[in-house]
Amino acid sequence: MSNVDSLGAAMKSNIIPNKEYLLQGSIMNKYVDVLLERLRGLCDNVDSGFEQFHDQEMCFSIRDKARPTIVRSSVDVAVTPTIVEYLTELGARLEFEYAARGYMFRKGRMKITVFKINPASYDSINNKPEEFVSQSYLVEMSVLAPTGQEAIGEEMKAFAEQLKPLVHLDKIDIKRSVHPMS
Amino acid sequence: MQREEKQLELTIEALVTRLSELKNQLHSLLYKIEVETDSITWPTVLDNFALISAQFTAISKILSTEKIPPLRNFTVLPLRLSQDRDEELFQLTERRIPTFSHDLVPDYLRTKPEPDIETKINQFVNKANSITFETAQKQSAAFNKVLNHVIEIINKSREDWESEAGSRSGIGQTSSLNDTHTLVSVITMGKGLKPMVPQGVPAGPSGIMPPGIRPGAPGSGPSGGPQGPPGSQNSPMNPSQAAQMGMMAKAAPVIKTNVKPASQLHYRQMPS
Repeated sequence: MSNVDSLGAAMKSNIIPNKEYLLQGSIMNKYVDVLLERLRGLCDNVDSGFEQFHDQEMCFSIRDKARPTIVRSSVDVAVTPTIVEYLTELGARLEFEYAARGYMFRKGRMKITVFKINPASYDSINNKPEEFVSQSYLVEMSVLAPTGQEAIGEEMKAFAEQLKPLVHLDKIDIKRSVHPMS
Repeated sequence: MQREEKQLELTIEALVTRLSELKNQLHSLLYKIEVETDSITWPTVLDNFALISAQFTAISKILSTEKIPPLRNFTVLPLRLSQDRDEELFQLTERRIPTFSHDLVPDYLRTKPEPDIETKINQFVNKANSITFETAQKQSAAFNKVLNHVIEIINKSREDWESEAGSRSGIGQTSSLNDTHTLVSVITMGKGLKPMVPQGVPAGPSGIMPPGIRPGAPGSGPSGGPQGPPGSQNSPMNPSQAAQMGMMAKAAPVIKTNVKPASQLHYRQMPS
């Protein structure tokens, strides 16, 4: 069987985790320690302490993009450092980029991240003092799962319930946040 | 028959893994308590206890599954005892038992209490049976009294604790929906990040402000209004601008993410 065939078979039998289930919320800077402490207690990586991360996110688009929704398609690909040049050659255009710095937790197959957003580009990040978009940390809870596993949503809601009233994780409607007046 | 044996093997395997995990956790807790006595914090200890109790739950869950054969029906029968040192056993038991000999085996394979303990237990049972009904009643009444006292103390400290926790939960707002929206729109749409936005204004207000208002408010850049003294730049307003301003003033409280337009308005409205 060729690679293409086996990939096609994997797609058909729904074993590729290509859907991301996502809940979002935020926590004010002042209370982030309380939240981290609670997550440490609730999540799996208790004994190792929390994992810190510092990522650079770059969003590329080719025109006719689909609107992202709260169950969104997702594909993980390993890349080489020249990925940016490659995408640009393909005709994709850098829409925006930012640096995310914060903490990551695991709970079963759920991933919970608590992070701040720094609107710096990759080139300038080391030269500028850090400044952040908001007075709050963004809190995201996500699971990568194959298509058709709707039960995971309930699992996530149940866990989000345990973080109330500290932080309210919910489906955030992007359209509303872009035009708060309408 | 064979299937049962296989089931038993699987069960024991699962139990052994669980138990060794539990042992590791106990080890790490003990290590922390011994080595990091000064730096260890309560939450860390509680987290470790949570882990251990989770392991116990998992073990009892395994044992209570229907498929599990009742383990108490199985006995371990020692066939050969020896005074010689058994290296394999020594390694297997993590250097605890060097020989499978007469003085150790009864302790490790014991299913009943030791004989002298058993006699002691019997003595207590006899003593309990020999006292009169009245004495027993008197003693249990005294015991109840003590217990009630303890319950009272616990209840009182629980009340104290709950009121303290209640006052702590009243720390007010810990998250802001507006911040959530701002942050989410930043990471999904790049709002406020890109210098190449068509309007050329990085954040929110350009989308919200009626277009007519910008040419009508000259010199009120980001550095204009709030810092300057009130009335320092009272350019005359025509009625239609004033009406638009009024609309903004009403709309402003909704847009908490960007307060500047609202504060500018206050300063400009005061002199008129």
